[in-house]
This record gives sequence, structure tokens and C-alpha cells, in this order.
Amino acid sequence: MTSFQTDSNPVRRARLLFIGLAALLLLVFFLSLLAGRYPSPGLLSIEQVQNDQMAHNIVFRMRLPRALLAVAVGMSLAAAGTVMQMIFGNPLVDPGFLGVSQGAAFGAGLSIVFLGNSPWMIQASAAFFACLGLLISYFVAWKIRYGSWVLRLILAGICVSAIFTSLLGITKYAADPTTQLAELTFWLLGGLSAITWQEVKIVVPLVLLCLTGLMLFRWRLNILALKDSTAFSLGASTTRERAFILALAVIATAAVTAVSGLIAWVGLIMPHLARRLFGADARFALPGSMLLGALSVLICDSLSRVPFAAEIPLGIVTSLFGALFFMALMMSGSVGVKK
Amino acid sequence: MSEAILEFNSLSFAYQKGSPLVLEGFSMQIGRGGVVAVLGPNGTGKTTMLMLALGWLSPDAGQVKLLGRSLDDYSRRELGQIVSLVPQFEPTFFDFSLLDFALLGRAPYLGSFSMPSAEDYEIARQALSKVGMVEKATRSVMNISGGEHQLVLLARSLAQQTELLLLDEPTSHLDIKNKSRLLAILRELVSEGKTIIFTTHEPDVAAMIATSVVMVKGGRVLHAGPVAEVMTGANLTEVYDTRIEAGEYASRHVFFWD
Repeated sequence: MTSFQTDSNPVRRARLLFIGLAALLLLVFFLSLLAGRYPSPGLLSIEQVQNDQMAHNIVFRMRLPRALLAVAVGMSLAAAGTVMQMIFGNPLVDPGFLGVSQGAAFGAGLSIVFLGNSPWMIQASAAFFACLGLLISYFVAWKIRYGSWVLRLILAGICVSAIFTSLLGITKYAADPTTQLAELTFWLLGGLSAITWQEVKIVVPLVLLCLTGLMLFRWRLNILALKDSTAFSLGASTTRERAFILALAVIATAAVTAVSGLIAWVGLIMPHLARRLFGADARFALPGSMLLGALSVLICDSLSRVPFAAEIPLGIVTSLFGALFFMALMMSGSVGVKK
Repeated sequence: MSEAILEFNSLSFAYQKGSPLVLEGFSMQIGRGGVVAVLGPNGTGKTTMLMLALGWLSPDAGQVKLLGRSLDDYSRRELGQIVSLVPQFEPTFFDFSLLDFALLGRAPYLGSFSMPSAEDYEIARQALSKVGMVEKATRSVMNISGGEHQLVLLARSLAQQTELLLLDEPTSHLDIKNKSRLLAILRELVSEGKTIIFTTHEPDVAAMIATSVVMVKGGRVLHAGPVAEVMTGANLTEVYDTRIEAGEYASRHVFFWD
């Protein structure tokens, strides 16, 4: 027996975990299609979906696109979180970093208050400013004359986020308090209530493309998580490769944030949980994180719409459970931060 | 001298424009095969010299040649297959297993979208075995001692299978047993035809393993040549500005300082 075979146990364990998580995701996906408040709170039966035209429409026109987008949101945020934590060598970074989240929030605010609040315009504006946040962060980091590339990006990201937060504040101040401010606040809390097949058709292919790129590149992520000079010594073109992989992560984040609003905590916590379950090697941690992200957003979205007559914004549910879960995770052992 | 593997030709380097030069008119030629120890006071440009040899830093003036070709003529992957680096310390934020960490040394041989093969795993495992860490292959790289960390960094470099190894103060965290193991590994690598350049503050370690010594001070080469000729008390005193005397005990060079 070669010594490699003795090391295949962790790989086998990871495969079994993947199969288990994928099966659980399918089950939750299926249940989320049936769960709701029509005709009464609880689960629809298959018979009802087949025979009741209203139930059929609710499942296929409302819940199915919404569930698909919840999976896309969870996968994108968790994947982007894993990528960013590794590239920045910082387990406390999340996908909204580098001005992406605050850029999207300002974009949405600008559209709601000044550009007319059609859903299409809000999404386009949020996506545009999310990407602009990244580009400005990159440009500023490029121009900073001291520190490592990672430190420069972190500093630039903090500044760009602060600028967009201030601009968002001005936008809120200018908003009509009875209509626009309420709509903007609701957008900022995040949610999937307005999702239709229209959004799925635009967002899902883009997300699929970015996530496929990240999956193909995932072992290389381990190299890019090392110190710049070490990654260089291992043959990596650090700046170019990091820019490419960050662009994929940010485009996926911007695409889902534009339609879902700000969904907090998923991109921070799922990478930690995935590393706990699959180990730090991104070959397993990245897909693991994506599955966990999809599962958690799908569950949170169901919790946001099923128990109460009025829907709770998804961002509130992910924040509540995310923070509680993160506390439990930290108290139960290492989260990968060296003391 | 055998064919040169590495040449520094009149290098000048400063970390920022207008700041003092770390290296100035630095020239050195290192032959293929053998162990070269680089000695010098703190802040004299030893690590900078390694980073220039690696290609991570580019000189402001002069040229670095690897196997007769300018470093600029190599692709990153080519360089990674010829030169490897063992840093003195490397912060790690994620708990890779030691095997996964050593496996990273295979990166220059893998494409951007490739995954390591069973053969890559075997090479990484052998590298861990060579540094005596194979029994701990599944341990986290975050839960090992400083000395073990240094050995794992060496294992990653061994997995890289390069002809030239650059080691930055490789014995600084090692106990005597592991120092002895490291020196044995270096001897074995030299017998396989590899070339090793390492920086150190320990003249006795340099005298035990090196075939030649380079003493640097103020960004220039002060003395260079075979150990027996260069490792004298007078030269070391000049380099470190501290009275150092060289002697012999049981056929070994020993050094005393005030």
C-alpha cells in the first residue's frame, strides 16, 4: 500500500460529508418549495401542487425562483468569504469588504431617492457601485506607497467603505421619510421577497460562471493565502492571480447583493464552519463553504417568510442566527485565528 | 570554480527611492553544488540578498543571473522549479495539515487549474519524512513549535525539488538535535548535487556545514572564500565589531566572543 492511500481517509471523509450536505440541501430545497402560508401555514402536499392552480403558481412562479436565488446568494457569499479570507490572510474578512457592500448600498439608495425606484434600476445601480467600490479600492491600494499588497487593499477598502457609508447617509438625509426612506431601509435589511424568474435568469448564469472559475482555481487559493514572497517563490504571479480571483468573487457578490440587498454574516461564518468540517485546504473548504452557505440562506429565507404573516427581512434573520452561531463557534474552540 | 549557479553583478538596492541603499556595488558568484553561508550583522542586507536571488526584489542597478541567464528571462513557474525559499518564519492563519502544507511546494509543477496528484502527495510525504515530521503529517501547522515550523518550511522547499535552496537563518529556532538533523539534511542535499545558500548568525554552524563563506557588512561583500581561509577571528571581529576569537576543539572550529 502506498503511503498516499493512508492519507486518502480525510479525502474520503470529505466526500462523504459533501454527499451528506448535498442530500440535505436537496431535501431543504424541496421542503422550502412546499413550506409557506397558503392555504394555511405549513407544507403543501404534492397533490395540492398538482391540482390547485393557485398552489401550482405559488410554487413554480414564486417559491422556485426564490429558492434558486437563495441558493445562489448563499453559495456566492460563502465562496466570496472563503476567497477573501484566504487572500487577505484574515479570517475576519467578509465579502462586503473592499467597498463592495457599502458601494451596493449607496447604489441602491441613489436609485431609490434620485433615479426612480424601479427594481431594474435599483439592481443595476447597486451592482454598478459594488463593482466601482472594488475598482476604487484597487486603484487606491495601487497608489499607496508602503506596506504589503494585502495591507494596502485593507486600508483602501476601509476608506472606500467609509466614503460610501457617508454618501449613503447623505442620500438617506435627502430621502422622503414616508416613502423613499422606508423603501431604502427595507432594501438595506435584505430580502428575497421580490424575486421572480427575471432576476434568476440574469443572476444565476453570472454566479455560475464566477463560481465555476473559483472552483477550478481552488487549490491555487492555498498558495495565494501565503505571504507574498512565499507565494512568489512557489511560482505564483501574486498580484495578477489575486486580482483575477477577487474579481470573480466580487462579481458574484455584486450580482446577488444587487437583487437581495445586504445579507450579513453568511460570508463571514460559513468559511469558518467549512474549515472546521473540511480542513483549511481550499480544495475542500471552498465547495464545503458553498454548500453550507446555500443551506443556511435557504433555511433562513424559509424562516423569514413561513412562521409569521408579515415577512421578516432575510438580512435580520441571517444576522440574528449568524451572530449567535458565531459566538457558539468561537466558544467551542478555534476559529482559525492564531492568538 | 565550478559553473556559477548564481551571480550578483554590481547590485545596488534600496527599499524606497531616496532611502539609504541596503546593498551597494554588491558582487558575488556562487558555484554549482556546495553550501554557502552568508554571515553579517543585523540589517546588513542578508535577507535582501536572498530576496534578490529569488527574484522577489529587483535591483535598482546591476544584474542577478541564474545559471547564466538573467532572472528577468525566467517565467515565475520556471523560477519556482529552480529556486526555493525557506523563510525564517512564516505567519500562517489557517490550520493546514502538515502534509497539505508541504504539498504546496508542488505548486510550480501544477497549472493554475490543476489539483495535486497521488505522486505529488508522495513527494510531499517523503519531504516530511526527511525532516522527521511524517508521523505528525495530519497535525495542524498552527499547533506546532517554532522549531517544528522551521522544519515544515524546509519540507515544503524539499517538495519543490529545486536545484538551489535559499534558507534564511534556518537554525534560529532549532534545538541541538534538530540543528544536527538539519545539517545532515543539507549535507545529503549537497551530495545530490544541490546548491544551498543560507544566512546565519552562528559562526560555528557556518563552519560545520559550509563549503564557502561570504561575510557582508554595510551592503558590501567584506570577505568571501573557503571556510578555512575566511572564518578567522580577525575577519569575524571586523564584521561584527566585537572581539571574536577562533579556535579548534576536537577537529572543529569554535568561536569565542566578549
